Amino acid sequence: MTEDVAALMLTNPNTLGIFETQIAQISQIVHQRGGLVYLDGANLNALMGLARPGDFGVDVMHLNLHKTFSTPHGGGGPGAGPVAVKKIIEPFLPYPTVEKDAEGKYFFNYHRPQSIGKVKAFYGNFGTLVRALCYILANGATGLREASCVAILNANYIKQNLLEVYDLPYHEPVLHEVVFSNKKQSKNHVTVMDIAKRLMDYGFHPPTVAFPLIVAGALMIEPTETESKEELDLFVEAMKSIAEEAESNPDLLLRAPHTTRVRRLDEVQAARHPILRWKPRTP
Amino acid sequence: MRYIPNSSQVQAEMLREIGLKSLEDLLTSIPPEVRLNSSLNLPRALSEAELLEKFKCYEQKNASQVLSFLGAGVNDHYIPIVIDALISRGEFLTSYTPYQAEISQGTLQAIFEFQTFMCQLTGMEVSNASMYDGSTALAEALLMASRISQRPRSLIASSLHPEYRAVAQTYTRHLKLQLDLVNFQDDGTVDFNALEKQIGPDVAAVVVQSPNFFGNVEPLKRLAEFSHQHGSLLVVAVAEALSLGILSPPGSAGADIVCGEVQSLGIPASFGGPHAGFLTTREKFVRNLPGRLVGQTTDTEGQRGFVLTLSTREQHIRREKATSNICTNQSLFALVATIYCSLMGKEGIRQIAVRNVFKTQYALSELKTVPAVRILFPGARFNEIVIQLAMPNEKAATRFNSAKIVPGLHLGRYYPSLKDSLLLSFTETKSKQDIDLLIQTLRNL
Amino acid sequence: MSLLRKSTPHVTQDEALIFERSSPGRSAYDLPPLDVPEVNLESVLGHENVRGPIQEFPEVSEVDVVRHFTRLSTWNYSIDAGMYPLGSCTMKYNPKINERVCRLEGIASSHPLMPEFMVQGNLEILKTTADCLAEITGMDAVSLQPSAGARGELTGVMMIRAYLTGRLPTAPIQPVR
Repeated sequence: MTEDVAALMLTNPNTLGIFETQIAQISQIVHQRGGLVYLDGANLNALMGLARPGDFGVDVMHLNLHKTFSTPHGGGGPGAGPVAVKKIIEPFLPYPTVEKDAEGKYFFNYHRPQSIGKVKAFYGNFGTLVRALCYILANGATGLREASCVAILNANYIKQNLLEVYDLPYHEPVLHEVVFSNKKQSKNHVTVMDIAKRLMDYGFHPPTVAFPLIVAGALMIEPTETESKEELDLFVEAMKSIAEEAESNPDLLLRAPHTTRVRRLDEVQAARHPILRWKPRTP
Repeated sequence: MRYIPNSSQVQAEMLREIGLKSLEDLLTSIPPEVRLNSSLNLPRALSEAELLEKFKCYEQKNASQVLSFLGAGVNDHYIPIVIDALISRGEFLTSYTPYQAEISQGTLQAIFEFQTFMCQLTGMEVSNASMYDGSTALAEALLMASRISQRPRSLIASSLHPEYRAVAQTYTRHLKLQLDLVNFQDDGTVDFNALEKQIGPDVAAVVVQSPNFFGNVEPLKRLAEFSHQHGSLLVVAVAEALSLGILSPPGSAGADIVCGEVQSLGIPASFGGPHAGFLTTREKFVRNLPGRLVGQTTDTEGQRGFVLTLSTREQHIRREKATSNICTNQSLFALVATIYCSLMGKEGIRQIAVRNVFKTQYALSELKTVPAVRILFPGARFNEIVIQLAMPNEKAATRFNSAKIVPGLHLGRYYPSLKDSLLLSFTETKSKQDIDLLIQTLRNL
Repeated sequence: MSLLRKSTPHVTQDEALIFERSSPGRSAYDLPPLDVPEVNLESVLGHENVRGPIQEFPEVSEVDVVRHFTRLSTWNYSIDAGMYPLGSCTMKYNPKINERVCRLEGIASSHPLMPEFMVQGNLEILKTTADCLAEITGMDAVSLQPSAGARGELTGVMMIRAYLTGRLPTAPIQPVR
């Protein structure tokens, strides 16, 4: 960390689901050298009511309301990505800000001479914000804390149950997600994508695969708090069964999925000869 | 908490199974000095009935039964009931980005249809899978034009949506891309004399909105010829997509990039968002197109299927060389526009657009009879009319407020030179009676 | 096949593209009777500005549309259907009450340029959301404007730049209240 560094950007818990235990000291070092700490708070599901980024030295962060705050993904949008800042950064926020005057009337404050400008027409994805607020109010402080705790429990439950079957590259305690690898399965040329595709036959959407990049053949699993033990058990069972198939019948995985509406699609063909719209047949 | 299936008994059982005593045992990696020792200062949890009550209470704090003629890029059109019924299906609403194509064919095929509809409406050759909204679509279009032409400056009509311009400015501020405004002339369309003076060999794109912010149709053919003569691209923004049901498509006029907003195609105003943007272009520019693209392909058994494609343009594949920092599209609202276009169909899309023209022309002819009103910009228009009042806007506003009418947008908000002018929008949702009431109120000012 | 306790293969219906389902004369829209005079389109819009019908647009009935998109929907996996263990994506259940409240007429239909005194409920929602997020994160101020995470990140980095360089850009438009 030198004086010409503007900011340290990090995720905490990091992409392995591990809490950066030295975060307070890290923040201190960055601040001492005149830098700022940026947190990718897209996924805050491990921390609600347990620890606050503002308390461990973060200066700027963003949140994805379509993750932690339960707004639907809609097949890829709309979402919302609010930014939260410390006092020193407040003057630079996009304009307008919403404020309340002395008489209790709310108003948009456009007089923000140091604002970086507008980043979206009008005020944001309002409809998404309404949903997120409804979620926060439905939970209250205790509900949000419980959500984080159970999300952590569910991740650890999966970790413990798959430990013997899949390679776990890092053994540190995890919070809301756990990263395995396909190291044990790869000897039969089974890739993480094959495992992912086979999971579809078992009725599951696959975990995140091949990410984070720091783990070769990563299988990144985040169950969240809204899964029951029964669903988690079925998932564990499926993952174990797939590991077994990778030994006994790897071909089954290489050609998966078998039960979906379409089989594996030819992505090379799609990119080489792009067909990006329907056209009427010429008579 | 009702969103958490595992009861405390089950949680205890799970803890036992993994060899722990309490939830607290799972949190040991969070150092005590950063642990939150108190409870978050939030209201207590509300039951579902209370939540509904709470939000109805917010709703009641908004004015109701208001007759509004506001448009300005967020247009009031009738939304067929079918749309909400279909997009409320959990399979569309609660699915993830379609990376895993085999279990996302519904979303992927719908986006492929969206891309087709956008091409048909704009007269362009390729469309991406949608963008956040019209303002960000414009910003992306500007960056795209600069990448294609390798030129550092663009000319933007000041009659282009001020919110879009503001967002584009934020986007391009730190890039080597200069945005120069081109004024409008007396009829509200872009001033060609100014354009002649400002054009140069360094101009990547001439950028206009049509129908522009004042509702006037820009001379796109002439603009395309002019831009191309100078080696620049023509970028056309469309904030009122329904206008394309009757107005000549920018593609046939020679536009190189057409971007805009599809809110008009079935998306509620929702206080400004979420809506959805679109970005279309010529086939030859497809590798410079930002955002998601869905392409047709076949599976291992030869069946037709759809996948996300040409992703080497995107940030998750080639971060430094990506065409944009955006990671996703606006799938659910691209779906809304797709359903809307399907419902309207060949006849309907035209009929609704024409109905908007009839309403606007009726309003125009009535407005002309009000002595205190001056119509500012004559010429071809869609939906919107700029009028100047014989009295200050503030004074007029008080009268309108008591009549529970929002006559339109006070243009002074964005254009100091149009201080006492209003931008009014007339769509198919306004009855003759509504328009007559507005005219009556204006007459009595 | 081995253990498949959660799923059983089942039939999904084939479905062509909406354009391929088109059949001349079908329609799924209607309009109330016209209550204002018709005008000549070419004379008010100008001959060069009027397009003909979009020939490639489909002609389908309401039933066709509902079946079409319902069938497409059955080809998707979703959180409503089952677990989505996507790491770093937090695919949690999306409560149905959220969908109800954001559709309340007076909230969903409000125009962003309404005079502020007419949309105090919306402004309160914005302020309350920002305040709650500030409390949860332990931060001092929140902007709700960015459309998604990537946009939030860009916004954050731009603010860091503005803070560190001390260069103060002027806001491009200064609307009056």
